[in-house]
Amino acid sequence: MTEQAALEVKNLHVAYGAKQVVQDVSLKFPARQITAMIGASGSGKSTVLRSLNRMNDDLATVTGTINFHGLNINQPDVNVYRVRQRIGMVFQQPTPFPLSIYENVIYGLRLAGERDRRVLDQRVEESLRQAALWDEVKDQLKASALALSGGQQQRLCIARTLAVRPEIILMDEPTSALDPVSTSQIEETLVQLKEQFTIIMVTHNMQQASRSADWTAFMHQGRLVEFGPTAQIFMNPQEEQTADYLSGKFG
Amino acid sequence: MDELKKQLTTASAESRQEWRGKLISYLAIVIIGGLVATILLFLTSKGLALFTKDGYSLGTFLTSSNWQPSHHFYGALPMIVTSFAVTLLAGIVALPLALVSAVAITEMLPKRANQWIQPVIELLVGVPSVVYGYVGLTVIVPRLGQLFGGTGFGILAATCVLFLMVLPTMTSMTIDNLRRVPKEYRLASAGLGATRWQTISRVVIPSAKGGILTAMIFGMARAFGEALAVQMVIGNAAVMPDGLMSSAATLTSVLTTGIGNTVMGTTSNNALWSLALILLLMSLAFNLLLRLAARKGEH
Repeated sequence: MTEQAALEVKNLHVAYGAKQVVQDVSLKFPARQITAMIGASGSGKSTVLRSLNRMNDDLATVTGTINFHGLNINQPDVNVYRVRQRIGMVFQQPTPFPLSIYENVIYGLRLAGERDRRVLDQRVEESLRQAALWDEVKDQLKASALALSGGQQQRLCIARTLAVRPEIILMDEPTSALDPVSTSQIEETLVQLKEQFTIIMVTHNMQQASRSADWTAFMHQGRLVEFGPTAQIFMNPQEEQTADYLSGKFG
Repeated sequence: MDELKKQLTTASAESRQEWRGKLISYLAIVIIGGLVATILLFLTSKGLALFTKDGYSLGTFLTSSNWQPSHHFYGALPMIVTSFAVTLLAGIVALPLALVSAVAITEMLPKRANQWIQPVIELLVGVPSVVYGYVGLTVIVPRLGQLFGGTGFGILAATCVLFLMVLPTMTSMTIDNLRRVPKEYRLASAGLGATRWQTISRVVIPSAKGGILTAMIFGMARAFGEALAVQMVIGNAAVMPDGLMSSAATLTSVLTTGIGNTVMGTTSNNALWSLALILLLMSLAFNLLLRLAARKGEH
């Protein structure tokens, strides 16, 4: 692999109590690319995703190394709050807070202690533009975020994550709760975003993976079966399990 | 054709059942509405008799602090002040405690502890007020007497008892409201780098604020209307209180102690009805506040 890795996972194991759900996953997520993680429900892909910015801390035992700029962030003495500012997360359900659009976007900045109104204003516009939401909401920044449509809410959540200026954005099925029009809008946004951000996305939607991802990782029963360029995985899978899954033999 | 027309236009067993159901529902509404209207009318006419029939001045009633029914002095100000004082004091002390314990229970304690803590709190909500009054009388009043001198009866004792009474109510309602905050908010906030404390203070509590406010007002309304427990510890002196340890009387405690000692239709009896009318108006005000708080919670 010639690409530079934004995040490198080595021998990752995750267990909920006594139940092993992820076993020995090693993979390098290329920088400024979109990597899709696919696999059946319960294959462990969401669990891997949530481990990457330590969202599993209270829920599961995660062992193995996760290298971020040469530092293993899966260590007890790592400041998880700082990690999550660098490695942001967008969830399946759009979850704007019951605040104004403006306050939603700057939420993460406020947490980090940013008070300068000019910085905040500027970052709101920048993030909303990046999330392709600016034109729709620029005249109603003070309005409640809950009044937006589902697709707009999800783009707001993306903007909220971008406002902190992370390097990596983790997305857990970001469009599965949205209609097709909103889904394609978000996919277009993602392609724009990969110029500046590394995106790692869990998806159940095969078309979505093939349309927008540069790289695809296929997981099955807690193990990484195959990882490679999306075209290769979809057109010419090396593993039988991958081929079976993609052709709908199980899943 | 005619057969079908007849079938489609005449009443059937189902349509008659619908009609009967509607009738019963409307009847129930009329009865309840009628009862409420009767109570309001009765209380209003009784409560105003002091001013209309006996010619006592409304201004004097509301502003004088001289309450001596035997000498025909009916100044209700001490009771109004005392009622508000004990309610507000109990509320102010209970509010932060209820909020903090609710946060601790919902956000910090493991689920297993939750399973028995909330039932215990709800049990406390249902304890009859006379029990709280008894605890106040046998535990709190003597301690206060030892600590500050005097009998121990008074505003502070009443505040303590009311505090104990409303704390479980407020806590339990606040817990319910914090639970109602979607789990996704907490996750999203953590995903943006928030600590648990930041999530609680910036997302969880603000999104539950309408409900928390409702819990507080509900608790205070309960404190304001409580008669028995207060009467047992407040000392029942219908005078203007001049400190936390002074004996006093609330609207409710004067009513419970006085209503058996007056004859229906006399001026002193009418004066008690006037106090009851004030209580009713205050309950209405609390209800209105609750509505406003709930609406605010909807965003």
